[in-house]
Amino acid sequence: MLKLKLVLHLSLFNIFFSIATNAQTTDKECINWFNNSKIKPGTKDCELKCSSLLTDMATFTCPDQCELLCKSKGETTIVGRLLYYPGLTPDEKKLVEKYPKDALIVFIQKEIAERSTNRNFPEQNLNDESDAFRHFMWAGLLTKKLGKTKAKEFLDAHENNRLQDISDKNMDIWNNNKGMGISEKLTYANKWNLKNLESEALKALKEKKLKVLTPRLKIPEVPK
Amino acid sequence: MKLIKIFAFTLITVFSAMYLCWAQYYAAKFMDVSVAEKKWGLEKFEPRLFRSKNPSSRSSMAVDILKRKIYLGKDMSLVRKELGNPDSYFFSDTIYAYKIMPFPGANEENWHLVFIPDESLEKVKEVKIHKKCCYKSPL
Repeated sequence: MLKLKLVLHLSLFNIFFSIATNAQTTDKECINWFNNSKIKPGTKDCELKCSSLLTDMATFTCPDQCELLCKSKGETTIVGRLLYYPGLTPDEKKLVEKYPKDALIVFIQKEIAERSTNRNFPEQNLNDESDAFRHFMWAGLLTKKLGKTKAKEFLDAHENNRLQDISDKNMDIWNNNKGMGISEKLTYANKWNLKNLESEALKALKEKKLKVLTPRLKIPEVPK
Repeated sequence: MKLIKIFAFTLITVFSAMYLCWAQYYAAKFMDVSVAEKKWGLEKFEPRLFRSKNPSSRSSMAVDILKRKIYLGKDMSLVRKELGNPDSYFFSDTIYAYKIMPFPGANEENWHLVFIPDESLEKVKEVKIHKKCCYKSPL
């Protein structure tokens, strides 16, 4: 009975999200196929024109997505909008729209990574040890929760930020990759937990395996 | 009836989660400019001086930045060009943050100046003095 309730609850949760986010998504190939046709989205005969477009081996399923492709550009779903928070890059916004449930996980893991960084490095600055640690932790947590592929998708979207210097970006990407790799290793060895991930981050910092552009902080011996 | 209850519960769960997302940012504590002026005084903002100055002497210039709304609506890139590379962190790498006081020690009150971009991340939407320490997360 309890199981049935749980299944029902999860189904409703999914239905809600599917409706609210219009969870159907379009493939990149199809978006390009549609954009190349120069059909204007949102127009009356858009769907008709779209479904009669020529296709090839890569785009033969695209006419099935005409309804979605014809929706006006820039249309934002309710949940997507509500999940936006300041400072999101355009790529992150797209991912929030595409995977709102995962976006929530990403946000919560960011929070956990920041708390962990606060504990271990009370003084935090950009491009120092705390910054490297935070990126390592966030990437490690996301890999555990979402798997490496999706974690990388979210992390790369965060780094696709025009406001950032190329050197800052390289540092973050390097440390993200380290975090993802170690998190996977810990998972395979059945040793994944937050403390172990923190220990590995501190160890990597001490062994200079993480990139730190402005080293200045004392690295704790053990996680706090 | 049960279905409605479950649906309502799901809705509450979802919106609570969303609220927490927003709360993490909006529950942050910012200092009012008048309070900042009382605390640190006012000094004419000079980008060159701000860049070269020790964080401890930036606070009074930060008050001038806020008071005269010098960077509101300006390009984010201009902030970096004039103030140098950010040396603090708040919420996201896309928000530029600058120290305005020396590190007071763990768990001691600490403030910094933050430049919050608009949705396109191009222009400065808000400039605030944010309480870096010790804000407690609602999560």
